[in-house]
Amino acid sequence: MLWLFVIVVSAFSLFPFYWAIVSSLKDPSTMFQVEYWPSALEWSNYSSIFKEQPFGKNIWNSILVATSTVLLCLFVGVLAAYSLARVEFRGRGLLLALILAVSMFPQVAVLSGMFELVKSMGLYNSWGGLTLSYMIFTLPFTIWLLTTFMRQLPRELEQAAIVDGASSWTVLYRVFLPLMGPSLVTTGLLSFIAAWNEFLFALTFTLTADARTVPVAIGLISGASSFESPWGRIMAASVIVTVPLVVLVLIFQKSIVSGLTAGAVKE
Amino acid sequence: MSEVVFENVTKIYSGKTTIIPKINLRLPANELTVFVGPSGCGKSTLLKLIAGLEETTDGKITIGGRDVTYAPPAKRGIAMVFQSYALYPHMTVFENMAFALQIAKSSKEEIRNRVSEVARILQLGPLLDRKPRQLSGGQRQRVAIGRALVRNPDVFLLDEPLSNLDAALRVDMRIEIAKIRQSLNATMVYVTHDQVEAMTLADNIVVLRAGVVEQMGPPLEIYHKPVNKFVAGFLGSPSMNFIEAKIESVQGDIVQIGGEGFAKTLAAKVKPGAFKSGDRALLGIRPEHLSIESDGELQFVTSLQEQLGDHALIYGSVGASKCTIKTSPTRAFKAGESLSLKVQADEVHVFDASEKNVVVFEAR
Ligand SMILES: Nc1ncnc2c1ncn2[C@@H]1O[C@H](COP(=O)(O)OP(=O)(O)OP(=O)(O)O)[C@@H](O)[C@H]1O
Ligand SMILES: [Mg+2]
Repeated sequence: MLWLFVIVVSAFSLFPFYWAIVSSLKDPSTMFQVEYWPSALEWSNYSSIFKEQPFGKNIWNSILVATSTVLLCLFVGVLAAYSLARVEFRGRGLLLALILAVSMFPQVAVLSGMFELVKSMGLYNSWGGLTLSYMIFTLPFTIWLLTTFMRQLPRELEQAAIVDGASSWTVLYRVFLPLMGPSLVTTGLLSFIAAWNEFLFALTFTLTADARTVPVAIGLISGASSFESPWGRIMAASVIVTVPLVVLVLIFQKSIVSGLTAGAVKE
Repeated sequence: MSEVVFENVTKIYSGKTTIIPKINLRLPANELTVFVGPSGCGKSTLLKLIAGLEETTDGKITIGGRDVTYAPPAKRGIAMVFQSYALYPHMTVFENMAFALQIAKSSKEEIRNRVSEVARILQLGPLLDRKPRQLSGGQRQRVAIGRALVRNPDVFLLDEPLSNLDAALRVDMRIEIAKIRQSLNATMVYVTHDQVEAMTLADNIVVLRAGVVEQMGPPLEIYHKPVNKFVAGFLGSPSMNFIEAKIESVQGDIVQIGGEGFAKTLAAKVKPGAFKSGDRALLGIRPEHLSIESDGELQFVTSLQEQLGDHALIYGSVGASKCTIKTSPTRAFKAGESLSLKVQADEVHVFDASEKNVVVFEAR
């Protein structure tokens, strides 16, 4: 009974992805014939996306933006979480609430303000601008998750280190960071996925095809002529960009699960 | 020679909760002082003040004559063993013990020598490559002590170090700590809830209540000469009996105590002017200082008996007050049986209305 349920749910959630793979392998002319199994493997969709636009460059941009977002976000997040979790100061609760509030704004609301900011910093049409703007939605949950995790680390552990002569900095990187591996992986991966899939900022803050990230590039794929459907190529591109995420999740699977449940039970 | 001295020390948490009102305390150099007191009375807070993990709100703390009130923990020559051990989970036993020395930038050679020396004392040699989670409770505790010893502290602070261990292991570790203590040239401060630890390990016991020192002295002095009802009731297991009584007559500094449940009056020497005839008083007598004998001073009514093999505890009452007797194993008593109790005269305590012990100890 439970197995049936598992199968139904997996089928339901995996079908669109399967459909995308099947479609990407079809000839454009047979695109709208319903087939559940590709009749002939047709790789032309895959090769043509690299020919008709700088898709390789787009992928590189995405990697650059997502990676730098993760690194910057974890760096700032860890420092912020340390002070929010461990240093007592006035207005700490308020600050935490404020950070959460920031993440509640719809992206469109901050779009124009962000645009001005990015432009004035001279980061328009560059990956730096995207990295910076992505902080606005990756930082809040990173800080929250890391703060929660750091709060669960026993106070006496920190005190033991202080008695041993450790400075705040030493406590952070010799004692806390090694214990935070799983939560760093979890938040890092979530940031990576968010940055990798982001569309609106990426569309607004870039101008040239060379500066685009993958989601925008896919969104702007069009047929060679207005009579040809680009559907097969869109599907091919989507499959290409999803694969790295799947690989990443598989690699870090163990740490994610332990990260999400860390501290749920006392050791 | 690292005497720890509190001079008018006050500790107020977050600007409003006064935990330590104003304490003056002198912990003798190279002796082991035990802090006891009810939960929340400020024992851990005092340790953290010595360690520098909490800021002193007011007053002065000196270690070996040096004012350390504002010194950072690492500069105070202290080491601390925490109740939860607080071992670094991701480091091996060796790394745990070496951590402080690494931070102090000792040479590799020096670190290795020092750690293996301490490991030898604590028999941790075979465990040096293990992580804390691969150790038993007793072994973790030894590592925690080892980590503190490595630093060669002047002042060694232990906050309920044995409370997470089971009873048998606790006895072993207690003996081990007593041994370490003999070989160690350090002032030790030890917090515990365990009577036996307090009595056996301490050179001096400090009894605390709500941040105030009720009494300080060697264990036997605290046991035999408690200054008030709180101290008298706190140390000793089972705790002292307090029997409601009345002063029947006063003759100089000798008072005759009687009342409900008394077969005859009991004479005691008290401080001059402590009582006048007819005053209410509280008779204090420990369970082990009562014996079942005919023609005793107290009339005891049994309710329950516990046979513990080497001794027996009999619970019951004297007049309206609860009373416990500790005797050598005896025959079984029925509930409600009436017994005559003899009081060991030189172990009598008498508390006045303000719960001060007014008995004169000189004769003892
Ligand atoms: N950081 C803090 N902020 C506010 N109050 C605190 C803080 N730490 C401790 N207290 C309070 O100070 C009081 C004394 O605490 P402390 O830990 O010294 O007690 P203790 O004597 O060690 O008790 P126990 O025997 O339970 O360990 C308690 O009432 C506690 O609630
Ligand atoms: Mg405590």
